[in-house]
Amino acid sequence: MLEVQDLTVTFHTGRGTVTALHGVDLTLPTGRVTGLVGESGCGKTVTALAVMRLLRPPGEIRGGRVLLGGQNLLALSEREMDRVRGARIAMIFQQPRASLNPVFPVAAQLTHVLRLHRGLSGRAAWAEGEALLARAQLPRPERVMRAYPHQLSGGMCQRVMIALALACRPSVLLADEPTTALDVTVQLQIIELLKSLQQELGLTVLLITHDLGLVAEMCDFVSVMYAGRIVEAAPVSALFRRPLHPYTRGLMASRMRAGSRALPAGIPGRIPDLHQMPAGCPFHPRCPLAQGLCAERDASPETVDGGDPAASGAARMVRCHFWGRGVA
Amino acid sequence: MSAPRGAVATPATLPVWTAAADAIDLLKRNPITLAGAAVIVVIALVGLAAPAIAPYDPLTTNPADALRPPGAGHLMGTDEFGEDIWSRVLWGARIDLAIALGAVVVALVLGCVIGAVAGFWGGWIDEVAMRSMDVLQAFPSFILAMGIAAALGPNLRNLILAIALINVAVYARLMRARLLVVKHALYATAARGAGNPPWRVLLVHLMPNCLTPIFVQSSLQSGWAILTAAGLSFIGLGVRIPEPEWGVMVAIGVARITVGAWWVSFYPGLCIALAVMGFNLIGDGLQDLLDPQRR
Ligand SMILES: Nc1ncnc2c1ncn2[C@@H]1O[C@H](COP(=O)(O)OP(=O)(O)OP(=O)(O)O)[C@@H](O)[C@H]1O
Ligand SMILES: [Mg+2]
Repeated sequence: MLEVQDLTVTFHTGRGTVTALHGVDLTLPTGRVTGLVGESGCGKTVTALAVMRLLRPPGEIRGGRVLLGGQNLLALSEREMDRVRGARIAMIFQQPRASLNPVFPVAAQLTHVLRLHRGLSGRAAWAEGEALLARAQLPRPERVMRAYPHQLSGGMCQRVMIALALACRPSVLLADEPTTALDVTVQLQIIELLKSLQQELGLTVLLITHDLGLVAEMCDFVSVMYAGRIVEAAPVSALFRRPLHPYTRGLMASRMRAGSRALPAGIPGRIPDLHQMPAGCPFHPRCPLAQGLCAERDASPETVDGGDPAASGAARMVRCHFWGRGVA
Repeated sequence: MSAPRGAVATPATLPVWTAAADAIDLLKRNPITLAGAAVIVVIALVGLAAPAIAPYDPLTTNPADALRPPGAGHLMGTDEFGEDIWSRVLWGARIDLAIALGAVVVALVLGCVIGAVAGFWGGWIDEVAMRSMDVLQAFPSFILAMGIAAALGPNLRNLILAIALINVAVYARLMRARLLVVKHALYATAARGAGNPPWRVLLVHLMPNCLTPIFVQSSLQSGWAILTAAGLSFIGLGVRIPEPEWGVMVAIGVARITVGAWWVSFYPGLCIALAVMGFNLIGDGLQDLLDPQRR
């Protein structure tokens, strides 16, 4: 299990210090897929980078804990962390081609990580590299081994990235919008691949996306993020049956529905600029339920019963003063 | 997908061989680079074989044979000491290429390390490193080389050092500039995320992405190093008379041009020009050769 508690991240910019993550809590149950959804700029990538401790200046982790198997990763030294990255937690990125080194063929990149964490070299590393590519369902792995990233399609690059990420048998995979940059047909293939690998290897996955359809398809749990805060967290079935937070409901309403000709309702306004965070609940300027209180103080996370006997015990969290109103 | 080029090889084939095959393939499509490479290869081979193929000892004087014009016994004539110019030109290939290679390697290694460390870590390290480079570059380079060579004493090793030192800043700047760009690349973050410590991200993942302009530059600089070496030797601050270095040989001959003995300076001068041209031609083609996108 990977647990993120009260994670706070700031960026020092020319216009002052902004808080990109405001005490984020996330739980990734072992062997399950947890979705992290939210609009562009809400802090999804920053969350994943912070968990891996890959944030670079001006980004800084100001507080919180990241617990992996009871160990707080934020308290480890850099050298200890180097043995966690890649070996116990791996990450794949939104732009598959850009995350591969352009001057090395795939083989060099694969054998390099195999040597780094598993001590394999020479033929053994080569054979294992091919096996990993085959496992990522790349046709003709022996050819792909010799290819440079620019000779591969986006989908193939993402498969190579998946092979690289899984090369050292991590237990946790952070997938940052793994399909956003790909064609629709290729997206489906990559999702299928991730799904089958996740089940086969029992991976604990954080799937970052803004596609609720993908969440419904792949995830067991989901956390909804807005302006650097988790505003709702629930098992997927419960969330889709009864979204509690007005932002979640807005997201649901803004989905394009197959067969429907009406434009999706959407959420009025835009995600606030980090430099000009509204006081109180950051969502209140766009919120249909907002009242005076919302502009004064932010709601605190509230644990609620799913109200669903089937999912009993699966508590859900919502962060809104007035979530009860307007819930069907 | 465009299939990777080359035959489907078995895993036993070493990547080195496919890289070499790629290089040969590319040279064939770039006749100008090929010409440059051919000139340098010939000079290198001649230099290596000089002891075997030179008809005379390059340092044996023979006053009876002084200032013979090119002809049967002496292909390129003799100088005022009666030394055989053809033999000395052959031996000169060895010395001048060694100077070029030595100076460029020393400058490249020093410059790359300084530039990479400065660009990667930034902050005060960057300040100290780059302000030192500013100081080096504040002097006209030939004057600085003269100063260094004069201070260290005129011999081959110090000549190489002097030429290398005045070029360190060139490589340091190129490396730093490239590194500032590539260090923000996603593959650097990905490499860090795979568990590489920072120094290995720099060495293994970032520096190879910065080398194209460096290698192009180093080829051009090799020609320039030969010119500088010849220049320093010509004014007596490099290799000394009677060593068979091309610049020294030109120096020996200048006084005799007015009396019609043009060959004493002409042949070594021609060699300098050929070598410089060869390196420059290679430099132009190297750009294509080293860019995997253009293969
Ligand atoms: N280097 C940086 N300097 C300043 N602010 C930054 C920096 N990196 C990220 N941020 C801020 O952090 C916030 C969260 O960014 P993040 O990349 O996590 O968004 P995201 O949810 O991943 O969006 P997307 O869906 O577009 O990938 C953004 O508002 C952004 O302005
Ligand atoms: Mg993102």
